[in-house]
Amino acid sequence: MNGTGSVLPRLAGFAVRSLDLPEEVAGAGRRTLLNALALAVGAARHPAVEAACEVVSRLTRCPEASIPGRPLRAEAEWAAFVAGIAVHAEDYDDTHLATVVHPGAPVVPAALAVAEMCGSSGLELLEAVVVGVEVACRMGLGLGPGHFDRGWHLTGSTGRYGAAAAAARLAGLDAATLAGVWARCAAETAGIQAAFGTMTKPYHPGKAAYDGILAVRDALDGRCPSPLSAEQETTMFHALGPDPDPPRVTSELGVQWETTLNTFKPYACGIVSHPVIDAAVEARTRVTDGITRITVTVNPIVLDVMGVEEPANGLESKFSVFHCAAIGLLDGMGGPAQFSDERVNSPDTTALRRKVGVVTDPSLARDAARLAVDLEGGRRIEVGVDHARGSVERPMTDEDLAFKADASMQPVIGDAARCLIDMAYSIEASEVQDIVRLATPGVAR
Amino acid sequence: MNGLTREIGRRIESIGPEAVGEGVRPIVSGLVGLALTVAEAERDRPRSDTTSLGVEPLADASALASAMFGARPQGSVDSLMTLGAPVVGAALATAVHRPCSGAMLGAAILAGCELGLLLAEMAGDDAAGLGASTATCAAVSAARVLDLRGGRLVSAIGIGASSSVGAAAALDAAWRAGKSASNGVLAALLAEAGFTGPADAIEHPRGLLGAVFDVPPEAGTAAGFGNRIGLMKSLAPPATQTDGLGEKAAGMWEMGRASELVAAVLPDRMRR
Repeated sequence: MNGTGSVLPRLAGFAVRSLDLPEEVAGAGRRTLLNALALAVGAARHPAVEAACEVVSRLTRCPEASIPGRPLRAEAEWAAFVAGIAVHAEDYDDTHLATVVHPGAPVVPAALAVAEMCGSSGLELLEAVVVGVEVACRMGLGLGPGHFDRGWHLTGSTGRYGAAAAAARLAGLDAATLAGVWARCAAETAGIQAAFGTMTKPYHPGKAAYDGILAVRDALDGRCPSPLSAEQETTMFHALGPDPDPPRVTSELGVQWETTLNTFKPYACGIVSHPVIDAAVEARTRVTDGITRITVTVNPIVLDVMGVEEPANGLESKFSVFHCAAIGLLDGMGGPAQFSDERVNSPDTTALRRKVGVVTDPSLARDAARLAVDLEGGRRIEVGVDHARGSVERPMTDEDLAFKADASMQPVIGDAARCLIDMAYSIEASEVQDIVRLATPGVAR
Repeated sequence: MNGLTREIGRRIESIGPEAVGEGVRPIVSGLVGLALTVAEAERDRPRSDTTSLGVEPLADASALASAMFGARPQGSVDSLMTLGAPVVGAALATAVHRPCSGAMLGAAILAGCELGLLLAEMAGDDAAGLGASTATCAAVSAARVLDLRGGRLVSAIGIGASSSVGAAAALDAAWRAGKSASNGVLAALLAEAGFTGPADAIEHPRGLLGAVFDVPPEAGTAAGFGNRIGLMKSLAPPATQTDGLGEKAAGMWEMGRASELVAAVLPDRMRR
């Protein structure tokens, strides 16, 4: 057994203590905040968000916090629920590659909603986001790769710890109480990969944000369980996977920042297919004749999670490496439009998708791919990608991210998008209320 | 096991009021009676405005299920109440807010309990299986009250399966019952609104059986679905131990609307 004893109390102490963030960490936090906020605004009219808002509008009773891009305010937990769904709805958000946690989707909505409710400063919001991301990703490290392999969606299962940490920090909870809140998070562990390709995948971070805030709210009302004992904590880690490593949760805490390893998606689909799109986009410039065959070589995990051969709709296409190769070659890009129902079912996409064959090679890294395109006449184009665009080794620049954020938000909030981007990049000098006002134009407060 | 979740969905749809025959009526009556008993007790308990019974279905479901588990009578068995409390809490809370006949309420409770017993059998460990699957079962009972069918019913199962409670740590069982019930109601409401869930949430290699129960998906089978709850007759909370409300429920829950049944017990707070 690897690791016994309590790591959560120490993590809780870190989560609520005073911070003096190094610039590299603060910068990564700003980027996480901007990316998630922009996607929440941009997906405000996504069908999953529409459905969630229909339910929330019937359940809400107290307008405490805003829902980005929507003329609806609700309790902080409900606002975060909808925003969490929105951030992850297009599978276009962020990824901590070592764990495959998408930390922005549960953490930023929870932090933003509680910060609005509490009247927090921009700096307090930024620190809450960083703490939440650290917690979500470190819990993922502690649960080990077997947790993912068994079928858990970590954005749901560990995202709730991060959401709760962010909310607890903003609400002023102490470390012992936060550890009790996390006992509830442990009891509420949820999120299965079977949901990939349906609206229930983005439900996971939305529900994680909701549950995290609700647990904090209950703690503030005096309804908080005791922290897990050392024995319970060990049992919890081992119940969720075959290879937990609890000491990794607090290893180099405050020295090594997982937030700086969070990456941002240039393409609106499962991240392990990104190198395939990169390769296809590059190959596209060299295609001169009709394509007869496309051969993709990838790490085996790609087929595990992206193996849908004939996607029926946009959501399913986000989990189809076959579709990713096809749209990279056809469109030279992989934004939300390439994963729409219309594009998935267009004749040219369908025809090219059926020419894609996939070979797995365990020696290839998860962010690497090889692509071979056979053309009529016998010519073959070969492209190799060692690290996908958007990976730690080839990160999106601030300008890339600003472009992506602007493209997401412009259709919903117009020119306010540019102001929001500037505010996010100077969050310490901004007020949360101003950010929220820009993200939800036309909402009476 | 392709199609198991869809097959279960079809079988759930086929459970109507007529399925609540003599073999299972005492069980459903006992559970409804217990729910009404605790609802009556909860009526006078001080609460904040947002958690008062009859105000909001998620909070109602949570309060009813937690209280049911806490008030389980002698003679009932924890495993049945682990399942019955969230299933009945979710069904009753949903029925208060939506038109539903008492007879359909009974069928919804039967469907949720049947699924729970089936999943527990698949999990191979009654206690763990029952605990972690109760949100899914509560989703089914709430979905039946809402009369969800086809893809929406299957989606409710899928969303519920993504809302498991108790897989990794067991807090207070009454709290777990309440949380499962409210998660179930939310799953059903989302599915009703068009939110989609996986069509293979149970049998998918990375679904309820594989990820949550850690058992081979091949353990999944729909065989015998619809015949299990009758076998639990001896475990039911005796109607006579629910202050007479079980008997009252036994005499009237099949008649009229479920909300009227509840209103008879809680005339001021739960009538909508």
